[in-house]
Amino acid sequence: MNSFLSLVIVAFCCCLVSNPGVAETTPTEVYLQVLQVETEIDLIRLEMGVAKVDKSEIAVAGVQPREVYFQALTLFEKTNRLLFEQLRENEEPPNRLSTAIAPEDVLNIVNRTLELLLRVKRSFGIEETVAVVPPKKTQTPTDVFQLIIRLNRTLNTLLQRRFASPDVYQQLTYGVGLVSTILATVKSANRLGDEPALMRRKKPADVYRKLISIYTIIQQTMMLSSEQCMVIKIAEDERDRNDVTSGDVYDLTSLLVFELSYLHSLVPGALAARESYYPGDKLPSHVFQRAGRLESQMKALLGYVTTHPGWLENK
Amino acid sequence: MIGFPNLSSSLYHRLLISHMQIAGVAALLIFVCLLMSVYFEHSSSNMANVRLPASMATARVVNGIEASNSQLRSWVLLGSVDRIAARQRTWAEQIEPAMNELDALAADKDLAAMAVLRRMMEQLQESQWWVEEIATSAGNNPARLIYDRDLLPVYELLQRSVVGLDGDPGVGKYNSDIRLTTTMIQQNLSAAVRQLSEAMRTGSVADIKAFRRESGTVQTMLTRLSEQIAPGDDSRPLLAWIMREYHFYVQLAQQTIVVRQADDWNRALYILRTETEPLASAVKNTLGALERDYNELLQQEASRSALISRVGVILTLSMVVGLGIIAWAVARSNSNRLVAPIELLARASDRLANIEDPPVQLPVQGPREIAHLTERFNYMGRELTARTKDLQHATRELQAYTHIITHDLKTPLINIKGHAGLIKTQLQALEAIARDESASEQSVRQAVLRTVTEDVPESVNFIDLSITKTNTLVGGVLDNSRLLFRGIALENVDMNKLVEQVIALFSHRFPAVKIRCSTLPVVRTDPFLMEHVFSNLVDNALKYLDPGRAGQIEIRGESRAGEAHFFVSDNGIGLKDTKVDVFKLFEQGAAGSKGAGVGLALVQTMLTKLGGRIGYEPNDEYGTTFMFCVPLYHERLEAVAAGKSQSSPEIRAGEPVLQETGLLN
Repeated sequence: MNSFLSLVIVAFCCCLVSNPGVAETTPTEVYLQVLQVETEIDLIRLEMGVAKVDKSEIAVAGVQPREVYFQALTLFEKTNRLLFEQLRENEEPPNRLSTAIAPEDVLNIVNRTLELLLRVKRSFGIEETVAVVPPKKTQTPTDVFQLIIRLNRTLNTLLQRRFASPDVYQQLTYGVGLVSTILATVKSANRLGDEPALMRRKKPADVYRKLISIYTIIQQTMMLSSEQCMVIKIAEDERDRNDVTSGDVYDLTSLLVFELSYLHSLVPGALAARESYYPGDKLPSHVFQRAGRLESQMKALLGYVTTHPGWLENK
Repeated sequence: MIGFPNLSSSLYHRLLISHMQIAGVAALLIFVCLLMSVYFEHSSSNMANVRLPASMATARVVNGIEASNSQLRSWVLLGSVDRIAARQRTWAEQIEPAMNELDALAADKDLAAMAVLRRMMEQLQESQWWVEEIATSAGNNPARLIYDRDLLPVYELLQRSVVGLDGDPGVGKYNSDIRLTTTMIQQNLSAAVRQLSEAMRTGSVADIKAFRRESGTVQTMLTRLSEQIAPGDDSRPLLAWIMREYHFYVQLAQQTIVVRQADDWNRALYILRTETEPLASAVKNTLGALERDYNELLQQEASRSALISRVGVILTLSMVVGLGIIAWAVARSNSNRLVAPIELLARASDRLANIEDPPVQLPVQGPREIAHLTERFNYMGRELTARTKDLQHATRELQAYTHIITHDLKTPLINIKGHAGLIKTQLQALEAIARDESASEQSVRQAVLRTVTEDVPESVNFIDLSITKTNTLVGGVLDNSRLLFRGIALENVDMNKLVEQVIALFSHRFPAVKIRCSTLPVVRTDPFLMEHVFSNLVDNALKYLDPGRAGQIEIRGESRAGEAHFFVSDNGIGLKDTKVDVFKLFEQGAAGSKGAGVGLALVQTMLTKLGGRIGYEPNDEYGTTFMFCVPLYHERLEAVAAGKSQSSPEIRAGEPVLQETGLLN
């Protein structure tokens, strides 16, 4: 009965999105739907006997719908893996949108994720439902973003094969391909950047910090290109935290790569980025090395954009 | 050291031009050879420094790309890790330096192609990096990835489940058939996984069929097991789960097979085959075009050089022959122009040597030196002819002179000899009479007296007259001789004063004779000789005055055409015999002449020496007028007077000076 109710809610939301006569989806509505997802994940987590993730949230500001969308895609990806692990079923991932992303696009991804979760929930024979309490205040994309980040962390703990360094490495390699195609439009030499030497004994936290520095470069590049970009705020005392997992790194990497994908979509004439493949066993040190290459590429791009701030306009 | 004559000399110029023409022809030949050498040097340098290195650099790049692709393929197919480093070395040590060299050697027109090539090379390098990157990843083989990541866990779970089914606490209740079935399921499941793994490796249809056969057997065994286990058995849920998992297993296996059968089952190889190698081929084509371009340029350069070489050889030979002919013609023409006048001069000299031939006047032409030589030769010819004539004239005069001397001196001598013989005869006759004893004293006395008073004195008188005449003749010859060899002292002579002195001298001796003189010009001449001329002419006029008339002598003079013309007229008896050359030594104008025929001859000698000439004509009524002229100024005389010339104008007949000044015209 509860499952039926959930399906009704999902169907209702879908109708809201698809009906053009209805007003545009607001972040609050998306937030409400993500809360529903959180409820279902918590039920599954409880059923699987996994402890709740207790980590401080990443302080972000100025989150754009596209960034929420990117995190929602990660949420769908993890849910899909959970579905396979539990039901041996796979769903086709949604087509990635890169431009003109609205809250309703996020809502679509969230709804599909919720659908997968309900199937998992059914496989476990969970019949309980928890009513979602609508938030009292108006929610912003930042709120939605932080909530999805939290869900991603939780989902990572539910997986038998968790998102780890190889997945981060694969994502970063895709990011290298994206920046490479961007650089190909502005410079011809050394588009792949310089890969630093392998440094042993790197931890996910090291990679995390490296990714944040890369993200800062991306942010500067976006700002110079007159594009809005989310700001990640990390307190000084959080910089040295070592409880960062590979799943966290993956989430940040996904966000970073999606930002790059967005930037890539703004560059006319940029060739499609290469597909990256599962690399097999990779250590955080390998990921750190690959992140170093991406950082080298981004510095080159930033150097170009600094001297050519109107580079996107001229194209 | 023999220097060239005056640089303005035309002959020098002609010789110089002639030599320079020959040298110019040689220089032109050398210049053409030099031009060809410079072209060859440039062409060879271009071929050696640009074309060939560029062609070799493109070949090195092409070889490097071939090598890097080969190394990449070795890595992708064989997993030779050292190939990765080898590929990177190929780029760093072979391709990049060759590309840099190509960049440096690229001409302006190749810059665009080089930029395109650079971009393509970057793409190629990036593509190779991706292939290398993908080849190192597990996802390079998606089928293997599905197999390892998804299928194997399911398989292991299945195996464990089937074993678990077999090891169920209630196993004792199962019969041997069920045990056999579960064992067969385990074995066939293992066989199926092995066949699938082999199919992943080989991609062969036979292995896939073998897998399907084994998996089908497992399905059959599972169905049989389902039949063998009773419907209410506790193991039925586990069996149902196993059957469901097996269903997933088969699905995953089928997915794996589908991916393996796809063209891009090996992503690295796929990218290598579909992207990297075509890109490398495109780069090689571009490089090949560039290399063909360079080779074509090299070939064109070589062909052009060969053509230039052939043309150069032909041109050089033609120029050697042609310019040799031209040089020969120029030299011959120059030689002819130089030698012809000289040969003409030689022939003229031969003619000039023969005094019987008329004098030759060569045309004054050719080079300045030759013209000048011809002019001087003509002058020499004229001089020689004139002097020859003078010499002939002098010889004739000398002969006449000798004849005159011998004849005129012989006559008194004959007289002297005759009278001396007569005296001797008379004295012999007187001696004979005196010795004749038979002769009477009176007759002797008469004979002696006649001899002493008549015959001998008469003969002695004749002898005395002859001696006197001989003395006069010898004196005249001496005077003439002195005048001939006397030097000339030129000065500006006021002829009025000079003639006045002469007149004064004669007026004293002949007070009855009226001598008048008009105004005379100033002449640059020898005053001594001039005074003698006037003295002789006035003396001559005084000698032959007519006793029947009062003597009158008039002296006039004027300047005309660079000459001073003088006239001495008298009203004397005049010249009776006009056939007589009164200016010839010892010739006399009239019988019973009072002179010895020396004075006018001396006058002519002196005037000739002064560059003048003399003549006479009878007056209309009485007497004779002697006319003579001398040059007012004579350059040659000045030279003679100054001792600069050996020539003495007085011995020339028809000399150029007189011709030039018009004296004889």
